[in-house]
Amino acid sequence: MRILAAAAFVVAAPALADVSAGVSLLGGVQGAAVTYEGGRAGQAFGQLALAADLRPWRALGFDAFVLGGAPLAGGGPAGAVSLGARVGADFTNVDFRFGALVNASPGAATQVWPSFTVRAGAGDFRAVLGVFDVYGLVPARLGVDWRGFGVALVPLGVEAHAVWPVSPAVNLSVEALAYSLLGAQFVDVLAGARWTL
Amino acid sequence: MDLVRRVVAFYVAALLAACDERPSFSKADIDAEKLLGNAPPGFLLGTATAPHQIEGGLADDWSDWEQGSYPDGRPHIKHRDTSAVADDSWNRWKDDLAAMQTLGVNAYRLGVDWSRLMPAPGQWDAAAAARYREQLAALRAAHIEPMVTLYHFTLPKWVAAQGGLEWDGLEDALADFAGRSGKAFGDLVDRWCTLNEPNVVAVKGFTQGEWPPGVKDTPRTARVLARLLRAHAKMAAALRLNDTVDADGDGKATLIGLAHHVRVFEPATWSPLDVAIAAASDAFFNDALVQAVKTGHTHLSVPGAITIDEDVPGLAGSFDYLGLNYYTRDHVRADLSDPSLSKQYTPAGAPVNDLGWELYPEGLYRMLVRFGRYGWPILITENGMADNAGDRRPEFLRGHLYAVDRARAAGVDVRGYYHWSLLDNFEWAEGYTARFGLFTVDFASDPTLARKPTPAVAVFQEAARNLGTLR
Repeated sequence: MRILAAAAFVVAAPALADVSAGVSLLGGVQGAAVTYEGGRAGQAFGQLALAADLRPWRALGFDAFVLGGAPLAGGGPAGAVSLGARVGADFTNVDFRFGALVNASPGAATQVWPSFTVRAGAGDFRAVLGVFDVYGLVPARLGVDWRGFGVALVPLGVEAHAVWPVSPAVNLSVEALAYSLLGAQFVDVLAGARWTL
Repeated sequence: MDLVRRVVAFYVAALLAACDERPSFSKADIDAEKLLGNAPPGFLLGTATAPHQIEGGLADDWSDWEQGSYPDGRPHIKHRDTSAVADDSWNRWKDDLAAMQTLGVNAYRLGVDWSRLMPAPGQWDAAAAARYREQLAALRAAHIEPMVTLYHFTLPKWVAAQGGLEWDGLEDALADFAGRSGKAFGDLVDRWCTLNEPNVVAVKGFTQGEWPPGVKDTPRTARVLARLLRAHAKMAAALRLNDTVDADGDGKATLIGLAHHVRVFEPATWSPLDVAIAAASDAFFNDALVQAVKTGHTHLSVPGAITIDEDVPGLAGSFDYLGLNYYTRDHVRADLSDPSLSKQYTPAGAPVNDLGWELYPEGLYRMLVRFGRYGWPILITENGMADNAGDRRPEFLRGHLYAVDRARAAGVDVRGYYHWSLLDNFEWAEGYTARFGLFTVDFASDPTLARKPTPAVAVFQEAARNLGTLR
């Protein structure tokens, strides 16, 4: 009953009424490697991400991104582009986005994965559950956000992000990941800025 | 921003530190190489074959499979080809020997067929054994060191009838066959290959359903592979017990290993699932078997399907060499709807053989460097390409022998190279449509099945001259 009451409170909470829009541009590097008996095989990729978020009316919210990655040295994996588009709603104590992530690469089958983020909490704190929501760079994460800073557990690793306001219209943004999945290790750092439109 | 750049550089450098070289061979360097020019005395240069693919006249589980079709109506074998005659090497083995002498080999990997030697439980065909002994003695007389494979994809019908690779008695039956073979041929043979490509036969037969018994069941794949590892351990013990004669006077009566198929699993993209599934595929297909022999403990894991952990008595210490069969590289695209969790493909524009397999000699170098770290001497027990016209095999052979030279120069203890194959032959599900032979055979219209040299013979001879085995 307590859970139901809490859920009813969250849903009944007033929606955020601010209309807002922003565009983010980030660049970074991903390193991916596999370790085996006495050695390691790895590859580094350059990445560029463009993201947009829009809250046009009452609680309704959208976000979308495109992230392109290309190997920094040839002879191995190919480049690929991920596109994400999601819709959701923002309330005082909870916000969510649901959508899809599409990953495409020339000659390879196109991948389509679900992408969602659910954040709930009180004040400046939010618990965060995400699936393919950090530009598609982690399959899942569970963590907390506080005033633009966040840290999350991902499968055998961590995700962290931070936002620093440098002017009323510009925030610097950093996204970092380090984790292991099915025997592969990843690190990823993206840095850039978000402009409020 | 400088701080961010430093952080990025630190993490990527830490992750990629000590990563193996990802080489890119240039044609000029390959063409300039004196192939095997620096190989040590005793380096084995030869070819490889398998009984079912060349002998003809065999009645085993594969000859039954050749008669059937898949559920969608496609025949199991292209054009409904059969191995009934194949190269007729059972009768024409002297032609094979002559072809080998043309090449200048000092080694030959061949099989003795379980169904031929043991057509029924407990029954040993002495006449068939005598024929094999005749061949082996002729090889020795020609200064060609035989390596004998005991299991190369086919089972006697009486084994298949009891469950084949899933039969609880398989391990002991294979050990019995190994012991009998050690006793029958041990005075002529020191080098034994217990099993050919256990990972391939498990995946083809039990994940992809393309080979007998045509099953698509990932947990059964893992259980079959674990069983074959147990079988290898028992076969090695039986060989050491029964082959006590040092055939070549080097002080060792047995040199035992198996032929392990390795392939480069390249993530298709940076997508985390592509990288992770490629890593899991690599761990299961390439690494698990070798780790098991290294440690004596089998650990097989297919995410979401099965995990097997078991100690295997006699497995550790069962290798005197590691045999590697290398052909190609797969690009891995995650696809969770597939039993293997991925789709594997070759990018458009990549050089490929007639079966669409990427030609990637750098992969042989990468595998030699990687598996050389286990500490066993390495024999390349198979390497070759399907090339029906025969005009691209010379470049393939040159590139892969260059990879061997590069690996040796990097300190890898590579002690031999067996080209697949001596002859065009019955290529399993491909029938006679895929030609791997250094010597071509006209199966359709030449009743003599003459072995005719392809252009790659000249490259092989060049390497043999550099090695000093052809004058």
